[in-house]
Amino acid sequence: MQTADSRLTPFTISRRARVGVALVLAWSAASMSPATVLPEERADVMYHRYDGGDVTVSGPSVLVRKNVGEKLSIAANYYTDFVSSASIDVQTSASPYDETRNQYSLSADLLNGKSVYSLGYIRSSESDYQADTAFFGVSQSLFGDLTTISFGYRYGDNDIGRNVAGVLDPDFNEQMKTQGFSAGVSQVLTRNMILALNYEVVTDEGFLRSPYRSVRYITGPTTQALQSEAYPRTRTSNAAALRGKYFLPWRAAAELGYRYYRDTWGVRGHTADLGYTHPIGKWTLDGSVRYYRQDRADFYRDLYPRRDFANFLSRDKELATYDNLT
Amino acid sequence: MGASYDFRIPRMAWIDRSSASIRYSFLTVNYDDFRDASQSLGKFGVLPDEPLAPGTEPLYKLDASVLQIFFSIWF
Repeated sequence: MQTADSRLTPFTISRRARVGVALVLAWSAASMSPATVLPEERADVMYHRYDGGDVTVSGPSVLVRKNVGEKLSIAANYYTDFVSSASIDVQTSASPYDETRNQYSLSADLLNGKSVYSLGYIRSSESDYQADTAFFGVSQSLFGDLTTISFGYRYGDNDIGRNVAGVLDPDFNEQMKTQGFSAGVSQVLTRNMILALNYEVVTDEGFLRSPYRSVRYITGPTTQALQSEAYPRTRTSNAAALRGKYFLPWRAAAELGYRYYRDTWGVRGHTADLGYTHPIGKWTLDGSVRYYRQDRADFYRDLYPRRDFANFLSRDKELATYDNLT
Repeated sequence: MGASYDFRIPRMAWIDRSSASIRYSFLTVNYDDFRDASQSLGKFGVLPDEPLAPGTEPLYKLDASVLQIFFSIWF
């Protein structure tokens, strides 16, 4: 499932719902480069930690990218999340839990003249969820490498289970399929400035809600009760992003971006971000600020007036109205 | 914000360059229509001493930090 609030790098693709989005953004990042070339040969080892909302997520990641000959680049990535959660959703309707999430990916980039063809596969698994995603992309340089266009497609197959008292429920098995199409163009405007425009359509079909989360409804002046969520079985989203980068004479760079998101559930999202990179000798310092604002899904409510109030019911805070400053 | 430092590794000529990096982000999320229901429903099945009426709980707010430390080589 695509989320409206997304700004990810290949190293931050930890949440199962964002795997495919990260892939598309990886293509988008490639489209910011002024010419079509193979990625650099490199290896990275990372430790990451998220801490907030009574949830901690931490773990290692390893990425290796190697060329085979002069026209083929192969990349492999391993990413692990150790999750400890007592989030606000868990507090009100479940028990704290710990789990491990593993993700493996393999991808290849083939350089053919002024084109790069990309192909890859990702598997993400945890105790109650397995996601398999395959993707394909192509980028092409035009007009003396001043313009680069790119297209991408991905397909995801998700198996969703449910743990009851720490044991996988054998009677619960749901599926969700997702497809994403993306297109982008980047243009070198001056010797110091590059501009990129990307557009993405994502369709999800199947089991789109959490098997654990409940909604609440009023039963009296001071009383309430819970019932399971009820979601539509399809969701289609559109997102467009515009990003500009300006290179300054002292090898610094400033970056400005905006992204608009909307989907068939009524969610509307706006993201704006500003970044600056500054080299000092062997050091490179960077800072950025980002603001995100979203309007809620049509069927979202914090509190329903009665049981079975509508066909679709949700109390997922990611479908609520909120803003996020990073 | 982030910082990275480029350096050479002695006696490993096959490595063109290497760097160590650290990135830290702080984020705050403010919800307009998602309330802290633990103040009425309780936490993990234990009711609060003075539960609030549903719909009168304070709006939920989330603060979080993200830390990334990584080591990179180019070859």
